[in-house]
Amino acid sequence: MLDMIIGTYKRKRKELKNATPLTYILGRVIRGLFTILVSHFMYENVFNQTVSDSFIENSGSLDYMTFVVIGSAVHVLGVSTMMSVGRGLISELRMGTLEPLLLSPKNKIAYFLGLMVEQVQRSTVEFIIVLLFGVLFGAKLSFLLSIKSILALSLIIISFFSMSVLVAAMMIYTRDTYVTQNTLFIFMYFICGISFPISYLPLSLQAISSVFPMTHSINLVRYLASGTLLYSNWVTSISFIVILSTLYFMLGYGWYRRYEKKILENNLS
Amino acid sequence: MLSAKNITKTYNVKNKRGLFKNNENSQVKALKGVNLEVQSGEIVGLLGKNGAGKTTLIKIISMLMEPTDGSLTIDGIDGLRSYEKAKSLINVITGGERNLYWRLNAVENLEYFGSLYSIPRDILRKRIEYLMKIFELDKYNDLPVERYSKGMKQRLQIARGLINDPKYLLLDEPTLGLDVDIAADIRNYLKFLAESEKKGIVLTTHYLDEAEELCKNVSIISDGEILESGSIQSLKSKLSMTPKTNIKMTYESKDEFLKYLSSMNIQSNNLNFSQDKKTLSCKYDTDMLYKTNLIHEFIKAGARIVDIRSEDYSLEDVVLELLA
Repeated sequence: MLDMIIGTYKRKRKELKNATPLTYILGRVIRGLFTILVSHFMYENVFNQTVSDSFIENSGSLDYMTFVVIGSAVHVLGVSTMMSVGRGLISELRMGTLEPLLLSPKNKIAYFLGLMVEQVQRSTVEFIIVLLFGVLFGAKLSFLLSIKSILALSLIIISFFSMSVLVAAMMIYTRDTYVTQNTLFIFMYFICGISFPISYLPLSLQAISSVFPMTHSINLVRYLASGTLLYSNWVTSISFIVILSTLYFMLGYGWYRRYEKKILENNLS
Repeated sequence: MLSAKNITKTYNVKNKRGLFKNNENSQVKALKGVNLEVQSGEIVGLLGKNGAGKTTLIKIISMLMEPTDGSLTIDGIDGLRSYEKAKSLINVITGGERNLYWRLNAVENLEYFGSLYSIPRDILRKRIEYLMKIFELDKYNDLPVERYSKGMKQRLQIARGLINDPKYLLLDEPTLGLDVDIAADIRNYLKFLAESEKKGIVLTTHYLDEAEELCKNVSIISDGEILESGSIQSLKSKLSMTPKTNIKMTYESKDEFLKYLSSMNIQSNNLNFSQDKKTLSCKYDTDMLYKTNLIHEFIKAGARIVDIRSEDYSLEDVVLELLA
């Protein structure tokens, strides 16, 4: 299994090295930066650096820029992980390299893990760039330099990986990348509390947002940032992340395994 | 031995009718009880038209796809139940330029494909060196695959298919679209793999000369069914076409020659006389030729036999007759 993780990691790394990896990360970084810029201009010039009482209550007393920068950075981390691992299989299908992968007797979890390890390297760079840019606009992020934060971020990455296995199964089943990446990720951007507290959403949307690990991941980092981390909040967020991750992974991998021997049928029938 | 028995495959096909109309589902029987056996060191040809079921059969034998019914055993391992074990015994090579990472070079490709099997690192390194050498790719290792010629890509495809040292190789149109000399090289590699490395090979091809050159046994598949299987010689012997014999003769006098034949009631309308060289050629059913002692009569009529040659039917004749 380790061979396949290392092999997949190395292959992806070399492929990207030969194909100007900057273009891969630039789009997501720019999007993260623009979110921060738009929020900054609105906060400074429209709201005149004031936020409502309800925002203070719902954001754990975070200042607006720290709130948005955390949301943006975690979103960038999540989308890049889900995009890379999620698109893995369908990209292989389109490049014509899926067959040798399916011929392998090894468990394909190792393949997904290899993609994730490679992606985490790039996602971390994207994450840090967005955070540094956020610091320039006044976000207070020193809390991230702690063991607690690093452990929380590791858990968050695992949760994104789990969801990306489901995304991968969905993409290969529907033979579509656009609906998933353009609709799901944009929907998540709106619903997971990136730039405003989810309590502003109608109850039905709040319920939907709670099924995304990203919502709980952002909450967890915000709890850490606010320094008022209540035990109950902490346990709730981590429990949701662990339960949802397990569920998504089992659902995604189970779906993939059931569909594995039918993937190539569509090309022939 | 690789043995596929009574393989059946039915696809469910959705015929989309429109956004607001119900889809119609229909079933397509791609394979209808197909049997195939391959021994180590043997090349078995699988011949048939496009859509006959060749690729579906290859995908099922390689465990990329599940049959609707039937059984598959590879060296005693049940390929449908213990397919993860059985998969290490086979590999598939397709024609064309897919199945490779174009941005990587040959060694990087082989290293990755090797990592998909449980091969100890030092053995994998030696194997890659060996494959790069026998497929003459070692000189081009600085180039990414996207800069390879078609022939080089196909050689790398074969090297990829051998990375796990499989006992059985399934080749789906391996020489498709290649230049004649490169296709000949590939055929030589395949002979080498069967003869020296004792690989059992299933070869699907549209090129019947290729099958005739490489395969001891062939199966002809049409519309999901095996029409005939066996050695090429045995298939030829089943041809309903009557074997023909070509005869070339010289003669002294055309008139006397024809007069004698006429006196013996021998038809002369299929004799082709050349004007100046005093030679003639003709073609007769071989059976009839020998039963009627016709050659003897020609000699009596004043002809000298220059050449007698029986027409050898090609595999193409067999396939054309079976598919007709």
